[in-house]
Amino acid sequence: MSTVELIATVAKVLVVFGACLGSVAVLVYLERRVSAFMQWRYGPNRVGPFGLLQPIADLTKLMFKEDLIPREAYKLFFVLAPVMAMAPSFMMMAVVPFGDAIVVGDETIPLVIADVGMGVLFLLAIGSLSVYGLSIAGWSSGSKFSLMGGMRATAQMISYELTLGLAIVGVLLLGDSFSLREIALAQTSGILEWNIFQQPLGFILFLIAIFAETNRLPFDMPEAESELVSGYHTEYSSMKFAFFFMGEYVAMVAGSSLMVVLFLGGWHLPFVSELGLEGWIAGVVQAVCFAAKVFVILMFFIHVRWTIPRFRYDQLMALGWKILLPLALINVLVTAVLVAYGIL
Amino acid sequence: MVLVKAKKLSVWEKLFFWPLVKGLWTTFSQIFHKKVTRLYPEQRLESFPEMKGHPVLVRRPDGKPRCVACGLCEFACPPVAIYIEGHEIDDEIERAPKVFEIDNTRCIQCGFCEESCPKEAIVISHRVEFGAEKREDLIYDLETLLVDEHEVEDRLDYIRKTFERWKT
Repeated sequence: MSTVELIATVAKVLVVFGACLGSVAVLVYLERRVSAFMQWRYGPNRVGPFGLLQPIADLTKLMFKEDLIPREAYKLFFVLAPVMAMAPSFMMMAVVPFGDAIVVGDETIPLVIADVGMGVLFLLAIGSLSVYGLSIAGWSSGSKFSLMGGMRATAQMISYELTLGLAIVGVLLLGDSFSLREIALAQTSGILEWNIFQQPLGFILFLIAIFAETNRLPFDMPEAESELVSGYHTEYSSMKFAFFFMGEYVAMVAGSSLMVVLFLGGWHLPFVSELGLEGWIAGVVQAVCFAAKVFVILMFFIHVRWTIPRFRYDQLMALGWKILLPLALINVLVTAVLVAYGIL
Repeated sequence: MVLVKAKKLSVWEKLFFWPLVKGLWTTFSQIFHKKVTRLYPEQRLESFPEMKGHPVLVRRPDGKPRCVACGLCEFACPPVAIYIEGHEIDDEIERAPKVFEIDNTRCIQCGFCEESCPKEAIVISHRVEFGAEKREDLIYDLETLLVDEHEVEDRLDYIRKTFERWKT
């Protein structure tokens, strides 16, 4: 690995990691503000101008809380669980391409941290790891509410993993490659090339599955605030709770980035990409387009959370197994047939 | 007993697609609605005469308190929040309070002191903000309680009209 590549990788890691953490702070603030505006009230508007320093206040408060471990808890797993809930989401961001390749000197640097040939497989595998975090958190807390929450979370996430995978299979059939960068590249020729127009059902299935994977309303039964106290993170306080909190938001960011790369054309915007920019300016513009799209989807996450009521547990499971899974299978079948006959 | 049958939904209706879109539009449009929160402390509630805040002592035009330390308010106060020590002074009105303390940790802002005062010397004001950092700061002495008459004019008007009704 040459020096330029090394420096570039380090820079990319810093940018992506920084962007993830930064977006957590932004999301914390925006969620409270937007939800407040939807309810005819102001959100936090005292801490900085327009309350912009609220996330700092939140983080400081969480750091100063008493960090307690219940007597009945299984200490090792109790401490490990938040990390296991947060780390996979960050790992997923490692294969997400936020731009095309930049040419620096005589090296071409792709704007992905790791341009793995099997990016999609990596994503599905790592994404499933976050289930462990939740179920271990629920069990190791030593409390019945947490256990119930953990069980529900595990069942929910496992059920919707299948739909997620099958929705992605549709995209794979179209893109003919497992590498996320190539899937994104295939969509950059024009707005009608975006996979959302070629796989509308796949997009809707993926959307619903991502809501369920990140435990976000209407699928937030595991942390149903009014029913299970706090579900699997009842017994957590201070930084461990902050990790769960951040883990959920980073999972949202990762899921949105996935959605953008797989279905919404990656870094392509109709008028901007035809400007014919070169070099690192093109890289920056592409990254900004990508970030803007991710932002729009995150706003949609927040919007849906404050609109739709929560699913009951049996409704949730019925939806996942009896409706979404058959639909996903039919989607794959139809896509495969259309691709085989050269239509798509 | 009325039997209501649930309407059978068609396949399209069961998807709830259109209701979802309408719901999302409703929540989105509420972002631009006028907010109902009052931004305290920039926007405060308007005071009106009937509002009962903390009692204050009214000054005469020459600056001395109207209070003659008769002790009626001390006697009338339900939680015994008032403490008065009177003394003789060299003036037209020969008695005045030497020490007049209202313990705000006891005062319930009921207004009995105002009702019992024969001189309209102690009046309920519209002071409702009592934040303090030590308990000792909440025991108000004579200096803190003295106000000019114009500050409590609306309350004086109101009590004169109300007490008029009780006169036989």
